[in-house]
Amino acid sequence: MRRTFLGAIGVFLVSSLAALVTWLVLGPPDRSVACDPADLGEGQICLSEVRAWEADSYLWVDARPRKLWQKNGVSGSVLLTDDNSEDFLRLEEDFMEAAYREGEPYPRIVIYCNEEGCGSSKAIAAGIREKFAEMMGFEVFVLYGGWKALAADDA
Amino acid sequence: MKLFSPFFFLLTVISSAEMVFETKLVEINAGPDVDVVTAEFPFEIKGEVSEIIEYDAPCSCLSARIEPLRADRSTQLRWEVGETGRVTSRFKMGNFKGTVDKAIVLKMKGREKPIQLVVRVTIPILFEIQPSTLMWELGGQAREQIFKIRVRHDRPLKILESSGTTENFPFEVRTIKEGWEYELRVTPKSTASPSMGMIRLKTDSELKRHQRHQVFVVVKKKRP
Repeated sequence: MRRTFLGAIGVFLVSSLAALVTWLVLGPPDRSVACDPADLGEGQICLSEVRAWEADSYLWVDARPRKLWQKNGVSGSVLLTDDNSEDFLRLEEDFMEAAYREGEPYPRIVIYCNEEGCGSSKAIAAGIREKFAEMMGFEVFVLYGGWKALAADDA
Repeated sequence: MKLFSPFFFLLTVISSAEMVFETKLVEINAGPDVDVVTAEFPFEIKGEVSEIIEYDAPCSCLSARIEPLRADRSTQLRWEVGETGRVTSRFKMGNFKGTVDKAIVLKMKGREKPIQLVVRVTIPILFEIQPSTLMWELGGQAREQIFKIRVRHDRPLKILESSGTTENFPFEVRTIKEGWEYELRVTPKSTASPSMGMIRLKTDSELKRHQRHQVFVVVKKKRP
């Protein structure tokens, strides 16, 4: 019994050491969201491409519920969610104020939602394109991987 | 090759083991006065046992249930081969208008990619305003521009109130056909400096989501 216990401890120590060495040599595990431009749907964009733009050339729009936006929304982002507990006209007003930027609208709007499962970002993007994009002169994108891609990038 | 046959057989069974849905997209055309719609996604378990780790609808407007429930009214998460059930979703429409896609996400044990079930609801736009935004170039001519309003309903909708947020954009609501067709004519006082405003309209619709409307008016630089 004692021998088995010591054996288990030994296996645990060896595997922990191997994991530590792997971490030190190769770095932390890659949690990034793989994004192949060839797989993107219409209007979608990879985070790597967004990161390559000048910081003041795009506005982040958070399409998640308010409590998530308040918890960890991207700095400078504006909330525009179709969560039906919100006054959507009021959110639309706040979005336009931000996007208009004192008469020099952002040329690009990038919308993120909560991981893969949220259709909100696509719906919000379609609404912005239809209502404002042409007059305001901005392109509208949906971030591939949504919040998961942003969180992995910040990790 | 003979040696590897059982391996390939096993691989085939595993790769086909899943919760098989009759459809992963349900489209619903809702009436203008409907507040809640439900959609059902029937499924059958094929291949091997399926276990739901988590199911969620990332929107407070959508709730999901895996049915049938167990005898004690709890949710059955582990499903045996050959069992059938359904995911039932309930969509509260709130202020939505137009076409909206909402997804239910099922995270399954042993499966990296979650299953997405999409409810596509189309809610009619009864009070149509075209376009949603009017723009004047900075330093350009302050000419009159028009929003066209049409009622797409089986009964008339009258404009009860109209208000603007910025003095730079005086407007006039012109009735073309009472209850059915209007024009909102806007002429900015000046285009010498950037400005943005809104014009809000309230109709006599008995349906809350069709009562309030807004459009935007902007003076902005022309993009090079």
